[in-house]
Amino acid sequence: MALNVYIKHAGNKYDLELDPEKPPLAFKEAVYQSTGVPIDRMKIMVKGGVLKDDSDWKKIGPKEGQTFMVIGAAGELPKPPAEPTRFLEDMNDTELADVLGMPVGLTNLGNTCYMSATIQALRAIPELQAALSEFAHPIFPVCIPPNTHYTSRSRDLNPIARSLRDLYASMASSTGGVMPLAFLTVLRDAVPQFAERSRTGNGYAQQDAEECWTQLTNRLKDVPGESTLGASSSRTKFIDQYMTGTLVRTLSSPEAPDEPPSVSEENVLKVECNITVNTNFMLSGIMEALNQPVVKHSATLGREATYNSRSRLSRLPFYLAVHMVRFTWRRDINKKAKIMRKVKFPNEFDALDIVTDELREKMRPIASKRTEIEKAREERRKVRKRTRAAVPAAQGQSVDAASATEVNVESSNGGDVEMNGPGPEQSPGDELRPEEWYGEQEKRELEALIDPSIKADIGASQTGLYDLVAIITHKGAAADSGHYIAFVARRALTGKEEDQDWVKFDDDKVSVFPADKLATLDGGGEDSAAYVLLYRSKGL
Amino acid sequence: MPEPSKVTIAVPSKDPKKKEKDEKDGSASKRKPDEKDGEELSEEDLQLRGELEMLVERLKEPDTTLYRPALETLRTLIRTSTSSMTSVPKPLKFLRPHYPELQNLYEIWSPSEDKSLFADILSVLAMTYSDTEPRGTLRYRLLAASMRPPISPLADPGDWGHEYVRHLASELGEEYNLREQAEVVKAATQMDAAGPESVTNDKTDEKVKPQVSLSVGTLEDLHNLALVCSKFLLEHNAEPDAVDLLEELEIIDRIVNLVDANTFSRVAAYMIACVNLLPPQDDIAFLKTAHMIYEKHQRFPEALSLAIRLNDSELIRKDFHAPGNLQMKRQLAFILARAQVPYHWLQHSTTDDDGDETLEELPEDLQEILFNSRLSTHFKQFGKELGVQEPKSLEDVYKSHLETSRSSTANVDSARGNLAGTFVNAFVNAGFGNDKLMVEAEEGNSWIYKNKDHGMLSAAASLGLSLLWDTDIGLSHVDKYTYSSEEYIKAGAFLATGILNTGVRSEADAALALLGDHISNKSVPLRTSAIVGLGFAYAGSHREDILFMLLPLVSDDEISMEIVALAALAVGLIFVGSENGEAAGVILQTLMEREDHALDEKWTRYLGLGLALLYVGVQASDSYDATIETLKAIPHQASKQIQVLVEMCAFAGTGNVLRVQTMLQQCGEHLNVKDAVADPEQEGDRKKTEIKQDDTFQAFAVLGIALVAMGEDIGAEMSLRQFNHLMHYGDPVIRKSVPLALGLVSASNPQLPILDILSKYSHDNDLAVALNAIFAMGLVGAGTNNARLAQMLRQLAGYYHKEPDCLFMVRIAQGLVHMGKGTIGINPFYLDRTILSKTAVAGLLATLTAFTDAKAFILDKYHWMLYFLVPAMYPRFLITVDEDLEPKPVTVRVGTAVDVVGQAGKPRTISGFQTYQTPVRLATTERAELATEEYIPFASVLEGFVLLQKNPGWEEKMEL
Repeated sequence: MALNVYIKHAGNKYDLELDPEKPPLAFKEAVYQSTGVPIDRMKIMVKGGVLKDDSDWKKIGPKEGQTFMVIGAAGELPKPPAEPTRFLEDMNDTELADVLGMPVGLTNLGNTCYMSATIQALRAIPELQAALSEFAHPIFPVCIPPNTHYTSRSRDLNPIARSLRDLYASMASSTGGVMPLAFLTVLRDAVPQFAERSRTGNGYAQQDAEECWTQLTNRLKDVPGESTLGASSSRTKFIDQYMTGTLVRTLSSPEAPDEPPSVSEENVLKVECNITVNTNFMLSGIMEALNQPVVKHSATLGREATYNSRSRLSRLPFYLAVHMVRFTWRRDINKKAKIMRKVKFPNEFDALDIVTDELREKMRPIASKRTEIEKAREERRKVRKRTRAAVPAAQGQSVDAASATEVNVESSNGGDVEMNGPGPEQSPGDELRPEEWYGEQEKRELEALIDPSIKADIGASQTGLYDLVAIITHKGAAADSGHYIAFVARRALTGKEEDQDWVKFDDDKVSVFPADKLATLDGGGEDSAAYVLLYRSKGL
Repeated sequence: MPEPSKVTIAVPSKDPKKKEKDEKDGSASKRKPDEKDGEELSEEDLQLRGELEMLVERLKEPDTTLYRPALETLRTLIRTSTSSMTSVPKPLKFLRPHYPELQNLYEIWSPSEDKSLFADILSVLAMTYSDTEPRGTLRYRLLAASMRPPISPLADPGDWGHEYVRHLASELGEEYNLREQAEVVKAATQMDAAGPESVTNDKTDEKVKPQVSLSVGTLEDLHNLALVCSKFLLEHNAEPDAVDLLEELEIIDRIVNLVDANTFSRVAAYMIACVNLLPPQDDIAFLKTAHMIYEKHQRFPEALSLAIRLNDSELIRKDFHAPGNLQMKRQLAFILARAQVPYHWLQHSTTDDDGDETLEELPEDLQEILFNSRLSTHFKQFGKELGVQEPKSLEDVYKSHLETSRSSTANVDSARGNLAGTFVNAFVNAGFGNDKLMVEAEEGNSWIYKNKDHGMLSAAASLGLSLLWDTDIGLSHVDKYTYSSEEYIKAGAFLATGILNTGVRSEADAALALLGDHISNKSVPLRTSAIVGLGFAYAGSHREDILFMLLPLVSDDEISMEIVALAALAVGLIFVGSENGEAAGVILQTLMEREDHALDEKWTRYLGLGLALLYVGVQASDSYDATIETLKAIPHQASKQIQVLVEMCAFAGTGNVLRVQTMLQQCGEHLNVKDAVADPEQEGDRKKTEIKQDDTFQAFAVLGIALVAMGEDIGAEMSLRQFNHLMHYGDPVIRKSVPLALGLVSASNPQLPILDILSKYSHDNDLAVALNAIFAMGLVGAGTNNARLAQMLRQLAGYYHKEPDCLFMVRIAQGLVHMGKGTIGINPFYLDRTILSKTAVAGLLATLTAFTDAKAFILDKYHWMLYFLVPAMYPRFLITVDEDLEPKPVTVRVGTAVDVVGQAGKPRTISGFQTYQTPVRLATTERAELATEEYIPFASVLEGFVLLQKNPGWEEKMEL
């Protein structure tokens, strides 16, 4: 006779018939029919344990209306993923440095923060590193005696360039702090002023980071840049291409209107920003430095006369360094003093104010086009937002989770883009084309506007608009003490444009620095104040 | 004539000093009126004084017939004034100078009814002389009683007013104590074979008041008087005084018959509040008496909760079956389910024809409640009501965008980080069964595979936490993983089976059926997981059948200490607080028989903990003493730490000051310093290897302070100070245990001072201290969602981003703080923080034990030990259900609990309350009360599940 029993499985209750005469397997089969749990994975709880295939129903003594608990999952067993997960703990140092993306710091070797800061700031120029490794690649092993006659590439073995390359290489492949000992030795060797001893105690003296910047860039002058390949430009060296601007200086005197203004041209590695009692913004400081009255002997007047020196840049390099002239020689106290004044610097710098009229004319179309494009982009963003909000509302009734719908819409949009390209749009209520499509379009438009002379000039800024990518700050009250720290935008290091954060290099301590705190580096106190700013030209 | 009478009727036994005093007083009394004249007495007062003096004079006259009316008048005068509350009553003031005369006068009177009345009046007057003649009130009171003829019963002391009764009460206490002492002295001197005469004399000298204790008033008289006094006190809202008086006379049990419907609840509440402050034995007596009071007044929930506190299975069964009302019974079942009382305690055993004892099955509905079967359903519903049923992702918890310094944005899996993620996900989504990483993970994308080796064990086990209490769906879900080819996953699945059965029972005994076969598996991870899984699933169940499965493992000296120790721990968990002799015997046996090098292993502490858990909350019992003595006989060093463990468990939550002091003493020793300083080179080498003293016991002693002190608020607060000292002067082993102790003392109760202390320790130079402090922060905030703590932890995550161990712990702590998305707490006290949950203590201790050597356990491959917290996890909800056990939303007020015991009137029991609809969440120090009178709760304390009954008188009230 069969008994009516119940089984409970995964929160559900089923009615079953149990015939104690038949083997347990028969009952299991019945359970399988109702629950779908495979028999070999089925566990039926009975008195004294799990029901086994050879169990005897008599011993178990099932009763009419009894409930059995069935354990076991229907369907597939969980499978491990095809590819085993690779863990950080399994990686070696180089791989780690690769994936972590957190740049390493440089150990302070005794008052070397000026150097560390400079090196780190220079890292914001990835092109420099590329050029370095290209150039200083030791085709000949390093063991060439110093006084042998060099081969044609012998000048490549500029010690500073080489050791800087090595330093960058070791920094790229390590996760801990790096000791820049070799580089320091080379630097002190090449620039004896950095080997100066501290006046008060033993050890080396503190140095000026700006000095270091200038010296370094000067020593790297012979690093070749991108091959010009028949282009008209005479610039072949990297520094010349990417970091050097041309300053046109016009001297005229109101006292001698008849005298023709004398025009001179010079190459500069940086733009100075003079800080006076009236300087509140970087641009006004730069203008101050560019427009200066000069007293000099006038040939026409035959006497000393005041001249207005008006300097403007006729070439904008891709990387523009701005030097905040914070240290001045104060004659009254015979000391180098620091100007603590707060000077605001922009995160986006429009250099059109400091270029020659000629260059400005060349660049103006691009600049105005850019503003137009920005506007259009903003507009599109708004529209997108609106449609995105509208679509789920329409579909919301059918689907429970609004968020899920949102994801759906987004993913379907994305899918369309990749498959159909700029073809006809399918997503409902969205007449916009994908952003990439517009990007292409805009780029094409802009490229058409570039003045050919600028286009041919490798390493020159095409837009005249700059983004801040690195800052060297000085902390402390006095010029020959204190501490230098470098702040570098992470997007300049990693190349990921969406990364908004900055990295703070305080010697070997590297930490993330939120972009919205950059304004705290304006100065105005003894805390870190921007000293050298590195701007990178915006692309198209 | 006072002077001559004084000389002639000198009391022989009174010491001369006193006489002088009397004389002085007598002379003073003469001056006093003059002085008082200067004070300008009002006419009325003067008249009163005159009258009183006249009456006194009359008593001195030989005419005995006048005595009676004089005494009566005197009495009336005194009575009418003593009832007022103003300063010193006038009659007493004026009669005070005459007291010595009257005393002397009294002595020459012959015994009569008048004399009794006289004694009664003197008794009142003696109040004014309590400083020079102690216990005069009591003495005359007793004299008055002894001389009163049986027909006219003793006047009620209450007639003399409240002040008089209080006075009498305090003198009763003193007298009783003196007699007690005298008994002791007597016993002692008798032992020395001294003559009884001399004894009496000795006593005479010692005791200022020999006649009383010798002639009048037997102990019985004292008792009776005390009863009369307490009755008066009870009637006059002075319940604490009444209780104190009876406690002093050691007849507290008699209060049961004195209290009535109006006073019993206040009396019982006061008595319960006293328990923590009483010496052992008295505290048990108090609990028992309070229990009797509740029982007598049919307060079943309160009575039951005391029975649970007493851990008396007989009493629990009796209380459970006492009410006839089914709903009340269900409510009791809810309380018992929370207490995890062994099921078989509640069953009546019946003997059938064959003489076999069988346990009677309880009705299905009660069984379902007792098994906690619907806990999961209710909890999920509760989560839904609170809007937290959506699973939380790791980033929701870490909120790393708010961290001060962020580490990499790299998308590479760190095994450590993922392991932390495993625990965070498990703790945060515990009980909801819908987390995204494990339960709801996409096919083939389970988080398990994002873990490495032993990490997989914890990951698979986290499934059990996510599906906590859900035996219906959970078991099948976990079952899938038991077929895995990966040993660690399989082991994790076993552990998960145990975990998800924690705190819930089922008739089917699934956990036993699923795990029972594997406890002798060859693979160590599978074996230990099955053993610990059983420990989880049957924690506190006292199941004998499982005991017999596990004990052979404990006593097997072929297998590794790891298995032995974990089996012992499982036994401890299952038989927590049971004093099971068999289990204790086997563990002790193992401790004695195992070789020294086996006991040197880190696992010994778990073996000891298993033993200690058997004694949780038993206090000093015979079996406890026996165990301690046996442990002392074990030569191995480990014996010391196990003694400490057993001692602290036995006194867990009692607030026993003496135990705290012994623990402190243990901590005070500087063990290995001595060697290092004293030893010169060669000797040092030898000694260091040989007598490197094991200092683990100190770690447990620190935890012990917390464990013992946590039961009582003041003690707990004092312990903070002690910890501070230990932190300053202690050895490293102590320093690293202090944060853990802090975590224990304030589990799930993030008080600001403790947070500050822990925050300080979390930056300690010693990383072991910092690590434990971080974990303790997790404990303190467990399940509270405390924003301040969360902020601290984020800051720590930034601070320690280069210390993987500490970062790991920060993540865990973050997970703990958001445990159950803020709905699950781990504080072991429940029912208005009066009862200590034994299983919760066991869980907490097991976890903390792992942290006494974090490097060897948690940071090694035994991170699954973090799941030891599970037995301590319980939802912090209040769910009101109607008579069909369906949730019934009502409005309740929730606020910080205020201690109102012994306060006058009906003060508010909560402060700063807000009104909510049930179900609501209660923080550790919060209390709820119904905001509506529409319903009457069955439970005494609104916590957990509360059955409601419609208030029959409610609607009429609305109409009015």
